[in-house]
Amino acid sequence: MNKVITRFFCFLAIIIIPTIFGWWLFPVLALVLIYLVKLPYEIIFAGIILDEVFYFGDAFIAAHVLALFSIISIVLALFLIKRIHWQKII
Amino acid sequence: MIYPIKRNKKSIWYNKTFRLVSFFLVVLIFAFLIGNIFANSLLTEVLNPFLKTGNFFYKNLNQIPKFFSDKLILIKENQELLEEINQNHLNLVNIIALNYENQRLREELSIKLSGQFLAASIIAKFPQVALDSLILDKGINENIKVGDLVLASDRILIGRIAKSNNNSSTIKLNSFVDVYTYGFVARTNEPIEIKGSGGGNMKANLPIDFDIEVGDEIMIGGSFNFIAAVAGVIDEDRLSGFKNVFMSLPTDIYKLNTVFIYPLNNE
Repeated sequence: MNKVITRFFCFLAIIIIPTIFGWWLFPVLALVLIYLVKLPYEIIFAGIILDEVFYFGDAFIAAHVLALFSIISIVLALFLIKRIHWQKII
Repeated sequence: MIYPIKRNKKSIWYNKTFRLVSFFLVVLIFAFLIGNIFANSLLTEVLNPFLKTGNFFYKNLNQIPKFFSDKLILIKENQELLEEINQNHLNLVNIIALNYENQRLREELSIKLSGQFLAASIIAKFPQVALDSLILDKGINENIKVGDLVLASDRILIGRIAKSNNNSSTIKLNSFVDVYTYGFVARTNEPIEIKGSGGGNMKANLPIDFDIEVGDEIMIGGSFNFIAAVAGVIDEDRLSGFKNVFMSLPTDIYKLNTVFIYPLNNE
């Protein structure tokens, strides 16, 4: 239960902190979360939400850059899960 | 003896492919729902206070070096600012007189009068948001639409509305990468195409004999003429017969707190 609550707060933090301090914090926090949490799929939803807040252009990739980044990170994490020792603190 | 009870028939959720496909569908449905204007507006309404907090933070962050500045440097800066204020007062009186004359001439010639400008506050700018974009605190509720012109003052055009929600909108500045603006050189009336190159800069690739000088203003025509750029650096390449003219926005975006929106239906 504690882990679920911690993951929920991490999900909120990954949305709120980039909103306050800048969109560039999202990739940093996403990578930190991928390291600390076992397969944090919620960063994809955070990426989709932040793509609606920030504007990078009208092209498909520019309009969904943060969501695409989080999807690619999760896919890479899926491939590497048995090859790299994950912290899995959360 | 303990006998573990094993299920013979596995639940469909044990199937990895099914789990992946279901997750993919959930992500698509979520993306579609968030893209809906109502959800989008609700989301921006919830996140707007955080954007304003970040804006406040970055404004104060820029003031911190002043606390460690030498007193003499601050005194000198104060004197320069006071002189600038005095000069601006004189310029303001001149501009008021010119505006009055302009208005009177427009009335006599029956040219359409100034349209309604809508003032909006900037709630987020770089580094909070992407370079060459700004977020405003007004949106569809105030009849702001995609494509409306955004002005820093009466005649300085800085960009257009790129995205609009119920309570906020996003500006794409003229210097946004790959934004094309079509205007003319104020001094010579020659048409020119400008391309945004990011970071408040714009570029034009012109024939080498094109008449343009450093300091020339680029205007956008229409019912009213707006200044869109100022020529900064001219780089001639005699071998190719062209020159690159590097321009900047007419005002410092990062010192702006309020902008004016000029609806396109006023044209």
